[in-house]
Formats: sequence, structure tokens, C-alpha cells
Amino acid sequence: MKKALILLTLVVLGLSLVTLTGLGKGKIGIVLDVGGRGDLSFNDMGFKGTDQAAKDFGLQMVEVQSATAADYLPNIRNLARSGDFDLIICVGFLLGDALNQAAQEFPDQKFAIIDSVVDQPNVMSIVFRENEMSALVGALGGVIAAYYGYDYVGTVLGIEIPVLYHFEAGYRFGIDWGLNKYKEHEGLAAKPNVGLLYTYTGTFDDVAKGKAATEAQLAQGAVAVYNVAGPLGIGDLEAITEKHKAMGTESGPPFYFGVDSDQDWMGNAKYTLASGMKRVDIACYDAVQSVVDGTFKGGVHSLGLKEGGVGISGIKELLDFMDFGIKAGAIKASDTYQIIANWASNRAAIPYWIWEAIDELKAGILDGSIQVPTADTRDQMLAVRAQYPLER
Amino acid sequence: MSALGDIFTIQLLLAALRLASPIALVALGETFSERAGIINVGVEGTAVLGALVTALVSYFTGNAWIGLIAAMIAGGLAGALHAVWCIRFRANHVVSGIGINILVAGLALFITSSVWGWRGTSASAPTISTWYITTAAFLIIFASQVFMFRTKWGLRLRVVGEKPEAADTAGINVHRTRYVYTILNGILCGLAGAFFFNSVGRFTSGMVGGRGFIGIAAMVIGNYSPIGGLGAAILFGFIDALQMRLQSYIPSQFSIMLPYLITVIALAFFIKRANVPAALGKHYVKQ
Repeated sequence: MKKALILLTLVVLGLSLVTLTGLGKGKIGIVLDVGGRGDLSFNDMGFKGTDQAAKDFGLQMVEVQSATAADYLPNIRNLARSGDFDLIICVGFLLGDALNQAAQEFPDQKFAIIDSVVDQPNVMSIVFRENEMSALVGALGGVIAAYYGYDYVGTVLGIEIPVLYHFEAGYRFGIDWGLNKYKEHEGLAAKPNVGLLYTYTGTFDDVAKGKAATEAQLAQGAVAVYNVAGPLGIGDLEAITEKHKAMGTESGPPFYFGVDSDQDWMGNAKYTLASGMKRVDIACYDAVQSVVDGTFKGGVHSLGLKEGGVGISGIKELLDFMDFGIKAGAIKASDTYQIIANWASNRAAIPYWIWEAIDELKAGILDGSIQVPTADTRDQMLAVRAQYPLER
Repeated sequence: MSALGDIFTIQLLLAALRLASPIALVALGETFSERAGIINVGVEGTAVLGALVTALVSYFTGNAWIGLIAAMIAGGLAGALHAVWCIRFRANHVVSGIGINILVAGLALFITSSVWGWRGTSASAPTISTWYITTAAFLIIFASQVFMFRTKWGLRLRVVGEKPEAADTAGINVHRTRYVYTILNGILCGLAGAFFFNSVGRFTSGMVGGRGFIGIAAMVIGNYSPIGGLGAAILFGFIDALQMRLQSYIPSQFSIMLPYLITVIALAFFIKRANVPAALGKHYVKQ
């Protein structure tokens, strides 16, 4: 009898201890759209940033993937209904409508969403000024096209949605800026005759389409192709690799420009030069931190170069994201030195003044002396296209 | 307009042929099975299965050729499954085909997430040049044209799809013929799937992207002949290759639609003239 009593006391004590620690630990929920993990880019970065924040602040993270679009609302609701979550982060434009509804149903729950604006007081809407980093990538593309004597700069895009207009608008501006810079530096009478090739593939998962579109642009003489369709980049890079094989070259143009994460390590960095980064990981981290600090505020948070939300890749990011790739099993740790060597030699092959020019553009955007155009509607996009036609 | 000169090059033609080859393979497979009387709308899923199995086997064996063979075997098995449903159990052909599409869609997510930990994507794996498959596709298609219209085996195949009773009376095993060609259809779709994988070296669940269904349309436009199906596939491939190059001149929303639009128009035009096998989709019960 006595033994049983002691045992019972111990069990009760143990249970209460578990509950207490459980209560003491906050929870962060993350809901992903149908794209899901494994893209080594947008979704994985959302996961990475949230996971890092959860570790740093001693929180528990719960991850929910959505199998179909019909799961968005139930997934968000399930997390919100429990009332346990300090913050629920929705990663991706596609979750916007579902969140708009859930946010009204659970007005006391704090939410954050990436890439979409949900006009509710309890939702932090995080959007990026992708036009700014795309301008940097475009400037690099424009200058190297002129430098290597190519006719075009290319970009392969996904579905024609407003977010992608940010990229196209910035890229166009950047190419034009780069060509003017080249003219100025070389003392030419006229801007080099370089055009832009752009293809909206209408898909974010048909990798073969990305490859075919890239092949088409390379055949027309593109010096580099900027991937603006996440996973399609695998196909883009494959086309570029085959082009090099056909030409019998091991380095040099045509190049691949990565997107969202730093994709410079892809294909062992043989044909990559730079990536236009959209730091979803930093955005998610900051959102969690704002809840921990008690500074969480609803409304639109626009992240650009100034906030460190977007940028062009450098060596620090290469190292960070190689680590990311190793953990995901996409690259071998033993390849890292080769990747760094390839990457550095690609960059070193380009005159230093070009990199200085990119820094100059970056500084101009940062201090506001250079305004990069953007577009949210088709009409605005057409206006930017008319302003920077980039036709040959 | 120097840019237009950059568009109409030999590259455009090569791109068209390459984009056409998986569609032509599906069209050929479907021609075989429909000539025997079996409709298979599961070709889309069978091609996805082919791509998935190529990824799996190439990844684990490190040999893309073994992956290619495995894809054809897997495709053949999917064809056999369809044949058993349609012939042995007399299921509705279309329902069984849709079942295969749904089954493979689920299987792809399950296998990718359990093997590689990513839902819907594989890790990268060794590949072979897709030109091998494209060249093989052309050779197979020309050989099939001769086989179907110039040999006694081809004649028997066509009789089974037109008038199975007559074929039976003449001593042709109707069911066995249907099994053979439905499995062959699966093998060819598996090969088409291997093409998709080898073109990028990594499986993604959206990589076939409706081209299996376009293959069925190509077969109808090509009037149930191997060469005709190839022609329709090349038309689709050419317009697809062209539209990507024309986006600087026409809005993408329209240009992306072009290959499909032309397929639908061609389908509407050709379907009236198509010689649909008389016993297509009908179960044969021996009297």
C-alpha cells in the first residue's frame, strides 16, 4: 500500500513536471504550401529560418505541409484552434486567401505570411522588394554580355503573377543600367546593342520546360539565364551545362543566375556567377524574434536591400548555403573546396571594375539616389517594358 | 528584325524534334493499344511512373541505362495492370486509366518523400543523353509503321480492334493480342517517362506536365498511324519551341496557350475524319 502511494506520488510529480516544462515552452507553427520542402530554396529557407529562431529562443516548432490547395485553411485552423502557438507563419503567396479567413476566425492569434499581403490587424505581411536584387543581377548580366560580346541576356520565369513582375522590372532596369555603365567605362559612343530574352513558362514544377526555355535562349545567344521559377533552375542549369559540353568549354559564359537562396553552389559552381537572393529565412527569423521581443506588429513589412531582406550573393552566403546543401544531401562535403575554387575563378575572370560597378549600383539603391522601378499589375509591367524595351 | 533571324534556326528544329519525341512515343503506344481495342488514358500516369522509376533505379545503381530498362519494365507492368482490369475484369477502360493516373500521382509523392525526404522531388541521379531516346523513338516509329500496315501481325492487330469476332473465328487469340499491345503501350510510355527524367537528371512530380494526354491527342490527329502520330507530335513540339522564342513579341498568356490551342483545333478538325477502331473500348466476350 505504501509502495503504491509512493509510486502514485512520483507519477503525479513526474506528470506535473512534464506539463510545466511543456507550458513554459512556446510554440511556433509553420505552414507550407503545395511546393513543400526539398526545393533547397524558398520553402526550405522558410523552414530553416523558423527552425533557427525556434532553437535560438528555446521554442518548439511544428511544421505542417499542405498536400493540396484545399488543405491550406484546415491546416492553419488546426494550429490556430489549439491556442498554443505564439506565432503561425504561412510560407508562400498561395496561402494568402486561406489566411485571410483564418485570421478573422482567430483574431487573437498572431500570424505572419511571406510574399502576400493579408489586410488583417493580427497578420504581419512580409513582402520583398525583389526588383532591387534583380537590378543587381541584371546589371551584372548586361555588363558581361557586352564584355563577352554576346547579343542577349536571358531570364526564364514561372507563372506570370505580380511577384514575378518585381523580378522582371528590376532585371530590365539593371541590364539597362549595366549597359550604360559599360558605355561610360569603355568610352563608347553608344550603348552596346544587347537585348533581353524572357520566357514565362507558365509553371513552377515542370523542370523540363525550364530546360527547353533555357535552350531556346542560349541558342539565340544569351550570355546568362536568370532563374525566376524556383525549381525550374535545375532544368535551366542542365541546359547551360549541355551547352558548355557541346562547345567543349569548362568555364566562362553562358552562366546561370540563381534565385531566392544562394544557388551559386549548384552544378559544383562551374557555370554559376551570382544569385539574386530573397532571404525568406531572415524574414521568418525576424518574425519569430518580434514575437519574442514583444514588438510584433501587423501590417505590411517590405524587405529590400536596406533591411537585408534581398541581395546579390557573395562568399559569405556561398559558405552558408553550401552548408545548407550538405545538410540536405544535395552536395558532398568533400566537394566544397572545388565549389569555392570554381566560383572564385568564374568571378575572377571578370574585370574588377564590373564588380565595383555592381557595388556602386547597390550603394545608389541603398542611399536612395537610384530608384529601381517595379510593377504590380500588367499595365505597370507594360510601362516598364516600354521604358526599357531591350530589343535588338 | 534581326531577332527573327535568331529564332528560325536549325536549333529551333532540333528543339522541336526533341520536345516531340516523348509525345510521339506515347502516341505510338496508344496507337498500338487502341488499334487492339483498348483505350488507355493512364498513359500520363504511366509516363510519370517511368520517370520516377528511372530516377529511383539510376540513383541506386548509378547506371542510367539500367534505369532506362527499369522504366520500360515498370511501364509494362502498369500496362499489364490496365489490361487485367479491362480484359479480365471488364472494367470501363477510361475509369481504369484514370485510376492509374491517380495511383501514380500518389505513389510519386509517397516514394519521393520516403526515399529522399522531399515530397515530389528526387535527388539528382546519373543520366544518358536524351538524343539516344529521341533517335530510338524515330526508329521505333518508322519500324512500327511498316509492322502495322505491311505485316500479317499488323493485320491481325487491326482486325482485333475492328472486329474481334472475325479475328476469333480466324483463330486469332483476341485477349492475348490485347494484353500484348496494352503492355507494349505501357513500355513505350515508360520510355517516354525515362526521356523526361534524363532531360534534367532529377525527378519532379510535375515533369510530364500533361504531355501524356497530348500524346493521345496526337494519336487521333495522326489518324491512328505511327507516322501520323509522329507528325502531330512534331507539330506540337515545333509550336511549343517557337512560342518560347516569341514571347518578346506576343504576351506570354497567349503564347503558352498556343500549342494547346492548335492541338484542340487540329483535334476538332481531324476527329471527324479519324478511323476510330470499331471495337474500341468494347469488351469482347467469346460466344
